[in-house]
Amino acid sequence: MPAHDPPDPPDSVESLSGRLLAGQGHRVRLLGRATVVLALENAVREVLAHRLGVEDPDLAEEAVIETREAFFRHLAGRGRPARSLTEAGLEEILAEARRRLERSRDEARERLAELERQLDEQRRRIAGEEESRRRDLDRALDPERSDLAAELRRRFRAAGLEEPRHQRLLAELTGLVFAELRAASQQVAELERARHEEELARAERRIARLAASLETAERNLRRLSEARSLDPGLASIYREVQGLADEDDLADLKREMLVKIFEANLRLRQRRRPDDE
Amino acid sequence: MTEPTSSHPDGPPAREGILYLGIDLGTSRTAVSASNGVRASIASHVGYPKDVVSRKLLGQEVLFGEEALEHRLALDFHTPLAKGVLKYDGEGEDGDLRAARDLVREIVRRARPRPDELVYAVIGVPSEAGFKNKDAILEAARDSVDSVMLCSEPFAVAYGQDMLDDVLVIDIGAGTVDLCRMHGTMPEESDQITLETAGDSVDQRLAELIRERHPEAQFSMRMVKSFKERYSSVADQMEPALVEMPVDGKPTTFDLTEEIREACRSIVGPIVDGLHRLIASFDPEFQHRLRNRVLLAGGGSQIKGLDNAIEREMAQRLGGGRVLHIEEPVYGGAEGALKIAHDMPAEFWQQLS
Repeated sequence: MPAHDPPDPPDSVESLSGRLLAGQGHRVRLLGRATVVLALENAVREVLAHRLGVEDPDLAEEAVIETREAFFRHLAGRGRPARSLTEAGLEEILAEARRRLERSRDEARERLAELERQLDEQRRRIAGEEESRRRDLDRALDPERSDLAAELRRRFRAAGLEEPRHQRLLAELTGLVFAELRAASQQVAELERARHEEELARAERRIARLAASLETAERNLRRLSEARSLDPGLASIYREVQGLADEDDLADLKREMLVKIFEANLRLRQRRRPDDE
Repeated sequence: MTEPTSSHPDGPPAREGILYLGIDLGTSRTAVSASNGVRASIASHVGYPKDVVSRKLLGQEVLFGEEALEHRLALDFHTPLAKGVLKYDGEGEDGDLRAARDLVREIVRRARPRPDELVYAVIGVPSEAGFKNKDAILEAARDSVDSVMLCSEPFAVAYGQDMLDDVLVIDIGAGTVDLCRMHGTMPEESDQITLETAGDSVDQRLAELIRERHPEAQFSMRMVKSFKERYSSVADQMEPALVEMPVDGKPTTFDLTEEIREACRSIVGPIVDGLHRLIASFDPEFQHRLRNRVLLAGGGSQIKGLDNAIEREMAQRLGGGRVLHIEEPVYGGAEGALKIAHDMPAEFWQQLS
């Protein structure tokens, strides 16, 4: 007997990445299931022969088979494959997915409505600003109403330049000044318009993105609703793993071939994951 | 198939039930036979809408089979097993790998597994498929089944027919013709030959002949394939192959009887060459047995008169031979794979799960 009993095995089996453990400084050696099963079988034979004195090879072999069966049974109980969900489990997963999708759809709808309201407000504000600017400019650039034109006329008068030729010069000068002013104002207005358009386009892009995400959420919800009526499938005629029937005429030959197919697949798997053994 | 009463003593009890699948992952068609009695096949095409507009129009994220072919112009279109081979370098998500994965998922879905069942599948692959190809197929199947094994496609056909001794299997697919010598042991590399002169090469040859002899005709490879599928024959006496092809936009009838016969016959020579190699390198005492048990399978074996044409060519070059047809060419590989899946011991499945 060993000096100390080995610690009890943990109740639950955790799946840990070998790379992660190695990264934490642990030494990791992964064993393939075939290796573990072989070691287990040898251990059973050894204990039977050396500690319990079982010499009958048939009896020993029966014990090995029973141990192997029990081992697989326990192993299967530990790690249930992802596919083998019960219907209730599947329903639960679907319901949770539906709840999540509905939440994200409602959030997207609210956000979309808020963005659309902001966009309308922005459009109204920009239109108001542009209209006000246009009115100011119209007034500023009308020689009859403009303060600048009035100031020019006043200065000409003050300088005594009131003869017809001076008035022609004043008219030419006023025309030139206002043409320059109109061109400059137009440039400023275009820059302003471009800035506003960019501002609106940005808001529209955000809305389009949100609308697309809302559409995706709604599509996924539709799909999920359809999933309720998913084909429940057609049950296999087998409840348990079958295996080759002993009464098969070619049983021996087939058994040998099945072993070779399995070995070839095992080699393929080991080549895929060279550190599995 | 046997009744589900006998449980194998080696296996652990499985509360959820076991659905066995035999899958023939082919260039042109993918077929599945399942232990719930379902059999299904689809053309091996997968397509993804190219943009938002086509996605909205088609209303689906991925299309399969004939439906994908129908809308291929609006799709990122894949035939993932061109020439019977799935190319994948093991790095990242390749387009064909994604398509193959979706194709496997779809064929598994069509087998109608229940959500509470374990799914164990055997997939037939071309006999000379290399490691990378097999690895790619395993990668494609990984998400859809609980445990998977690969086996050579012609071997699956032979296993399904219980013809494991002294038989030569010819499995004619679209991408490859697989020849396999069965002699009471697992076939080795030297027992198998893969030829590329298969269904697609018949299409190519037929297109060449139409171009040569009817240069005014306008056609696509899809049209050529449909002509072949409708009229394929190597017989001296065959139904006249009258087909319509446009000429300058106007539908015109052409008689392609001779062209189709010639194109279909183009695969006979290479197949008999392969048979010759496998027979000649076999124990001389048993060569006559192999010659007289040639098993013709696969979608391409539906070419009318092909068995007789091969027999005639064998008579000329090998001094005789007898060719047998399997009853269901499309499902022969899948049925054989299903039988292998059924016979495989529980612990083998578990070790590979």
